[in-house]
Amino acid sequence: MTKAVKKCRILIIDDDSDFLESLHLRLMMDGYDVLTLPDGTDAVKQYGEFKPDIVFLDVRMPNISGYDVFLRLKAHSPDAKIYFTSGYALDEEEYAVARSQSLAGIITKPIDSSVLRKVLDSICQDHS
Amino acid sequence: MMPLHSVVLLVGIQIMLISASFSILIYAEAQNALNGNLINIVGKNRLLANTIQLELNRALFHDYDVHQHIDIAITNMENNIHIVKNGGIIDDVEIPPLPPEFDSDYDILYMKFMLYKSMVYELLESRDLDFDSVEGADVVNKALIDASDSLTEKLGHNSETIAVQNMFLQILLGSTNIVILIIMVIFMWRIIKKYTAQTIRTEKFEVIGKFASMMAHDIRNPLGSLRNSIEIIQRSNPSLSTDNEMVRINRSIKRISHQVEGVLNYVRAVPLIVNKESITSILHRSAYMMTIPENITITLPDEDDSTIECDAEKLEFVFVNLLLNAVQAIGDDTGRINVKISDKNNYEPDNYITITIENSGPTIPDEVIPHVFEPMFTTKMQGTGLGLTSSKNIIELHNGAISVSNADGMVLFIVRIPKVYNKKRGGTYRKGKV
Repeated sequence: MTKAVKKCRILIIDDDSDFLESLHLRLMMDGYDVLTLPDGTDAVKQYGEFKPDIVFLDVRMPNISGYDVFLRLKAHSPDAKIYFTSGYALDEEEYAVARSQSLAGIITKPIDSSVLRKVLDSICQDHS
Repeated sequence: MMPLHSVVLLVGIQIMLISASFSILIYAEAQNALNGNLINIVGKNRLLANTIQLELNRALFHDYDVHQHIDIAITNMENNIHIVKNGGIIDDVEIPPLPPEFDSDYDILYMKFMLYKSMVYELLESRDLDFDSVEGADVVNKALIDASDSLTEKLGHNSETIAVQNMFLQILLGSTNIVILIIMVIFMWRIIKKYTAQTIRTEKFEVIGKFASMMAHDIRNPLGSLRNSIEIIQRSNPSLSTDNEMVRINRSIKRISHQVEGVLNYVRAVPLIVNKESITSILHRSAYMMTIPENITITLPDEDDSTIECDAEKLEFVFVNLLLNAVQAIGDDTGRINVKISDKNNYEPDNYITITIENSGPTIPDEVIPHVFEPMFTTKMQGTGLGLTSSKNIIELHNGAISVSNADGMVLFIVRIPKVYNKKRGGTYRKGKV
């Protein structure tokens, strides 16, 4: 009997369109269901509709910073698994707050294959 | 201590010194002025003694009762002698007590006075005054005056000596203050100069740091896109995965990333992300990052699963820096790099692990060793000059230590870190310091 498989959903929020598209494609090739957003203004609404298993969130973005997006998403969905994709833009205080609100982790660009695989495996293994 | 605080402190010390000097001088002068009052009082004895003798003479030549006048003069003199000994206040003038070193002179004066006094009263009571008896009293009176003059003279000498001492004291304190003032001015000038230079340097570096941080950050985005695109190409063409050029591109991406990280690790506040990691795997990954030239032989400890608590990415940065440093130090000569781990099989909690990265040199000159971990210190054409400084910061954040030394013709970089990360003791990254 075949076990029911649910695709792991990934939300990527990044203002760099090249990075956004290339990571989108890279993850799609691995069979993930991916949604991309060029900024975080609409993040909460999109998160609610798309219900991702994991969020890759850039920190330094125009309009609204990744850190603020993180706080909004956590306020909306405390269990959200969010990874920052540029930890260097965080200061120590922000990092401490994010950690206290269960920040899943920080992965730095360029994202190494082994790191990406490790992160995705840890979150998505229940779905694959 | 802040330079401004140092300057304020120095000015404060100088003011205190000047105030103390003035206080000492004023006190010394006041004491000597009191001595002057004492001399005047002692000198007054001569006048009183003469008055008594004069009254006695008048009694000889004019037949009237001088008893009362003499009585007053003797009482005055007795009081005067008493004040000479014990001090007191006469006509609002303060008289200090006689210094103990003049006690013997005082005793003579007092004894002569008592002798004279008893002689005068004896003469007055006998009512048998004649020229000889008054002459006899006059001899004792002269002796009394001599004793008084002698004390006056000695006190005068003493006062002069004190005046000379005070003068020397003035010169000494004045010179000392001037010397200290000059030293203070030089010292303050140097502090201010250093502070100003430091401020300018700090401001300059802050601007450079912000710019470098921003630039490094921005480089990461296209680098990320590049990395993703390479992955996509490799997925689409699996045969390319082992292609030398692809390996080279991947390694180049990692090296650019490493350089960027070097800057960011130095200029930005970055928290440690601590996990259980295999230190041997980190060392192997670090070595992979490098293109070890054929003229250099590298030996690494075997990979194993034993873990320590650390930020693997940052430790990798440290080891890549140390290996890069070793490769560049050896240059085109034939050489070797040995990476060793101490007590690899003893992973007890709270213990430290020591990683030694040694290279066959040339050795680092002794005068250079203390500066190796300083920012911007580099003798190489490549690198940011921040690698070893950032490495030291990262190791210290792990509560560890890094050192460099020469031994038997080899250069040894020794990294010592605890196997269990203690968050409470763990340092924090500096924010925005460049």
